[in-house]
Amino acid sequence: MSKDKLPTNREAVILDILINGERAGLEVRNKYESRTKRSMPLGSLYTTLTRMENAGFVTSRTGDTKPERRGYPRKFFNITGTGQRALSDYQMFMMNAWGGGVPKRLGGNAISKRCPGS
Amino acid sequence: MRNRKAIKRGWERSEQADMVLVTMLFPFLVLWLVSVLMGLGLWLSLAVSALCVLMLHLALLGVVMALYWYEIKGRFIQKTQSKGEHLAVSLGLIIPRKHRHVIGDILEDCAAMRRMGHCEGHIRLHVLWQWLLIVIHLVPSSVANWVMQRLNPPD
Repeated sequence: MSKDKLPTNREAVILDILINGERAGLEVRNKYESRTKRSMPLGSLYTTLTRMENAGFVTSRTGDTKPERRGYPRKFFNITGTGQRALSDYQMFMMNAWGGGVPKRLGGNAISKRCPGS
Repeated sequence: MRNRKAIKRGWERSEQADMVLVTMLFPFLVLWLVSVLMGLGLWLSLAVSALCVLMLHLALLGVVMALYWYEIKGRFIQKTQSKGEHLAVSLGLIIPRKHRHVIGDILEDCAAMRRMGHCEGHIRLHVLWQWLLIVIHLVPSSVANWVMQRLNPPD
């Protein structure tokens, strides 16, 4: 079993949002809110992203701007290999913790016996 | 001979007296040490709270200066730029340069809210709320990062 640091719930959702490619900070915020139905202020979003960057889960770059941003650049975030591994570890941990087994796409064999509909 | 015995007895008595004295003084010594340590702890906690108060005052000063700037510049506000957006830009002047992209995000948020038909007062309230949360979240973490970098400089 991996002893690497697991991401928190919020970090895991952000990593899952970033898994499909690079996204700007505001896009991450909007996706997070639409997925979790919980609000996330920009301050806590960027604090979380900075912490994730320090942990090596994501990388960032300053990008272009838009007319409604009045010259302020956008900051883009991308998931790293460490982040992908951390997300897989997190998903496996959650599946094992809730008794659902390891999902097929992570090399496991099963669909949960406790959830026949899934 | 008798003198020598008397002297020896005297020494023994004085040693016993020392022992008694030390035994009696020991709790006081411990108490003194504890009080010194507590005093140091008190001073440390006082210093930390003084630092917190100083940071709070600096933040408040920053808010006052930003609002002052907002009032001055508000007279020359362009028709295309709303007061909510102007507030976002003014408040953004007092946060570190590396976090300026957050101001762009707030401006983008303002534009989205305007498209959805929110009133100007609501947009301004949203800006103030977001900005307050930015100060609460980003400033302490920036200070902590700065202190950690000073304590453990990267190789």
